[in-house]
Amino acid sequence: MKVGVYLCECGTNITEKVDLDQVSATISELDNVGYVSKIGLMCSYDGVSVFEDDLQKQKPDRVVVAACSPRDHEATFMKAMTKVGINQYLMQMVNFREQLSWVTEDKQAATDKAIVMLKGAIARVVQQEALEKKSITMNNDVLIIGAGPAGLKAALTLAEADRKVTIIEKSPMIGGLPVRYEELFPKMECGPCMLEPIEHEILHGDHAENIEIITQAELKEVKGFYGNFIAKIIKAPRYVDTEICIGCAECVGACPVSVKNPMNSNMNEKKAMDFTFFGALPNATYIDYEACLRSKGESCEACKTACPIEGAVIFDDKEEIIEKNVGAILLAIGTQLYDATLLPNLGYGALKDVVTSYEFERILSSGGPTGGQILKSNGDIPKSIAIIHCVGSLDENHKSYCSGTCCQTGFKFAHELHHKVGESTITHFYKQLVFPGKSDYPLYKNAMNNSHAKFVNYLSTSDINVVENKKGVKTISYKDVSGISGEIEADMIILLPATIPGLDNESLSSLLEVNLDKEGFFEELHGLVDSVRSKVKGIFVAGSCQSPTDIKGAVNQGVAAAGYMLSGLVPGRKLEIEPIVAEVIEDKCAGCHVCVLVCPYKAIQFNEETKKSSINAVLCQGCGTCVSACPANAIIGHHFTKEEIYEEIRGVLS
Amino acid sequence: MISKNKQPSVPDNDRLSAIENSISNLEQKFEAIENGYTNVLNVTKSLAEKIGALKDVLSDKINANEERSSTHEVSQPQVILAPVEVKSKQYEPKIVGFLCNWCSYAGADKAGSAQIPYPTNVRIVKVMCSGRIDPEFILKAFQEGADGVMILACHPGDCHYKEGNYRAAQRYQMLKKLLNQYGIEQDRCYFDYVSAGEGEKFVRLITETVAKVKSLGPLKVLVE
Ligand SMILES: Cc1cc2nc3c(=O)[nH]c(=O)nc-3n(C[C@H](O)[C@H](O)[C@H](O)COP(=O)(O)OP(=O)(O)OC[C@H]3O[C@@H](n4cnc5c(N)ncnc54)[C@H](O)[C@@H]3O)c2cc1C
Ligand code: FES
Repeated sequence: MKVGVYLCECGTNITEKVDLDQVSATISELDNVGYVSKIGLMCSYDGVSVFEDDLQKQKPDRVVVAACSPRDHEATFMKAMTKVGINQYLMQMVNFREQLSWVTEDKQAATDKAIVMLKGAIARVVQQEALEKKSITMNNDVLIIGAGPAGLKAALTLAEADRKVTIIEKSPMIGGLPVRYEELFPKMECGPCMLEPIEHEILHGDHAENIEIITQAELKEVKGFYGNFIAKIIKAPRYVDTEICIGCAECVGACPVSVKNPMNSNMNEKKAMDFTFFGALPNATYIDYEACLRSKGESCEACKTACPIEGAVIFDDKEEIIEKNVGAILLAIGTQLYDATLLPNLGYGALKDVVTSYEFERILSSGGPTGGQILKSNGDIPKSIAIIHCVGSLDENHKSYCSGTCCQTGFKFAHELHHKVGESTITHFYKQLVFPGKSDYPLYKNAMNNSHAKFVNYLSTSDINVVENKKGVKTISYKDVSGISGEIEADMIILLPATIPGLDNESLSSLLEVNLDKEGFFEELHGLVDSVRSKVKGIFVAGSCQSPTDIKGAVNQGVAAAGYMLSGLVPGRKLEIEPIVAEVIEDKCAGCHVCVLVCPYKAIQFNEETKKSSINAVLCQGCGTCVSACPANAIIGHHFTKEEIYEEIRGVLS
Repeated sequence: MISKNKQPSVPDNDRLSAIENSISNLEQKFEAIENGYTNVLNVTKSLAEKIGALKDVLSDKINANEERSSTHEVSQPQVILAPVEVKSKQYEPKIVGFLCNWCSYAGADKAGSAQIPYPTNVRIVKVMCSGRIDPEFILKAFQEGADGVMILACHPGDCHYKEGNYRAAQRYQMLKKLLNQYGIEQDRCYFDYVSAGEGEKFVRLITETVAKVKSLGPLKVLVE
């Protein structure tokens, strides 16, 4: 074996402290050392070309470069090796500058250490193997789960770049939560008016042919990995063909069955054949089969008879299983609100006219139970309203975090109340007020400037108690932060509960092996620089399923995730697999599962039939944790093999 | 919209903090043991100094003897001298430092660019992550003649591969017990966290470890 050793002088940075001639003389005598060359400034343009020429002339089997930190120029020298046709993994760098000449005062001591360092590298490099970067073809299509603002904007961004996108949405409509709100903070824009154009773009826009929307659908199974996922989707029957339904509502009028309307938190009723709400997209009705008389064995055909379009109502619609091959998956399934009955002293669930923020949004909505009028359950206009902020938030016994959007929601309600019921008094109970950024302050100012508004700063929801007298008037007794007690009357109470992880975070987390954080939100790769990537390569997270956020935040994350997918899934480009990965030697594997447990990237599968582990090189990041955990020594950590490291240890100690 | 307050299944973070807690408990216990050990060490040190003084006296005498009977093969005194050599002033311990490729290697580079001098005793072996450091590597180092070993990792929560450093910390605790069984002083093996910005901490750790291992003298028991 012929090892070529290159010593960089780094100007005088190295030579000042290390006697390279002495080093060279000692090293030349070592086994395997073919030659030792000194180069002035190896990383410079000239230096690299001298290095390349010399490599071509000498044709070494292995190369050692003693220069600066590999963090500076390892890539430079690796590239040079590749250029002259020597495998770049046959090189080992020695950090003469940062670890030696810059930190050692005595020249002889430095020279001695230099020799020892080189001995380690030479012993190691002899063991090193040529490694090849493999590449595999990638599927460029994307699956998006959840059709809220985050999912929809991601889909549009991808579709505009001609990527094929499948969106699966659990409910019969797209748009997520905000399409159900009449007005949106911070600028009090009309929710449906702002989001409908986006929805139309998705359904009928210039790039709509790139987007497939599957409503009433859920993910059931996922196999594969980044670039090559196979997703199994279950689509529930809608009994209406959304492609040909014209949304005329004839069927709704004809349907004889009324049931509670979950879209309006059961505050009113809807038909068994109905829209989710009027104006929901896709503009088509659906049958709530459990409520439909046909599910009870009756032969009702009222909707079908009333329908002017042949074939739009499909009684024998079936559950479908759809398979999709995609390269990446985006989770954008949104949130839900904390259960306010867990704070019983606030009266929710027990007393009338104590409503959550979501319920109040529906009361404000023209498609809601009161047609957009603010009315109590008895039909009267409320005269005094209390808005209790931070319900379940900032509370160690409930949710310790700030949900971030409730303040603005409360001020939005104050704004709407002022416009719709004029003189009503509004009392805000709050723990903390937040209004960061350039747009949130005006709504707060507006709420403060309302002469009928009062603000009470409280410490804990246990300091608030709501009781109701026989006439239905509610009294809120409270203690504020300074310990002063008080009492106010209110005939409507709006609670702003904490935003918490969605119902399906847990099931999707185990299905996709994506971690949840300690609150149950999908965990991001990095809180500051990588909040839209999960720890599983190729699975992205966006919107309020990752952390409570407003629409702006959700949309930004959706678009950011789309950006990652566009840069990662490029048509015609293959997925390059780094060769510094781990590999199981099947014969040695005893099937103990330890590697599967320690891998932070879920890159190791256990084959139940062969009882052996195998490592997916696409998912493996090369940390080597499994290699050292394997009790059978059955895993090779390429480029950091036991033999290489042992030889290096031996070398530096010889 | 309204859900029951369902607790998510124990997420990784909780597991990690549980591990961290148990590690810090263990560390406290080890600290207590270490303190006891330092006391013993101090006694040993003062004994060693006395032996050193004796050595000087002895070697003077031996030299005098040798000069007097230079034709004689004097083998006995060498046996007497053997344990004494241990404390000679020239003794420079060999220490292997296992560093992960990310924070701790960058911390070493930081010390370099800040040009803070430190002793030359430590030879750095780089791995991608401290999670790759097999306890066998440490034993191998001792077997090949190292007098001390340092393991430096990214700070908890900062591991480039998320949790390799927790594994490394666990293995280190296990390893220390094993070292005891091999008769290798636990103080010869050192674990700590160094971030990319902590060049000064890196230098401090190197300097302290070198001093500590120097005071222990060369490793006497070899690993089989
Ligand atoms: C009462 C209230 C008022 C608010 N008002 C405002 C406001 O005025 N302005 C503002 O900026 N923000 C407001 N917000 C915040 C806003 O609702 C969120 O920022 C936004 O909804 C986040 O969008 P998203 O796409 O992440 O999730 P969502 O809008 O929640 O959409 C998620 C979608 O995923 C679907 N889904 C869920 N589970 C699955 C599954 N397993 N499979 C498939 N699909 C699934 C859901 O049906 C839904 O369609 C308000 C929040 C609340 C609670
Ligand atoms: S990368 Fe530094 S400890 Fe894992």
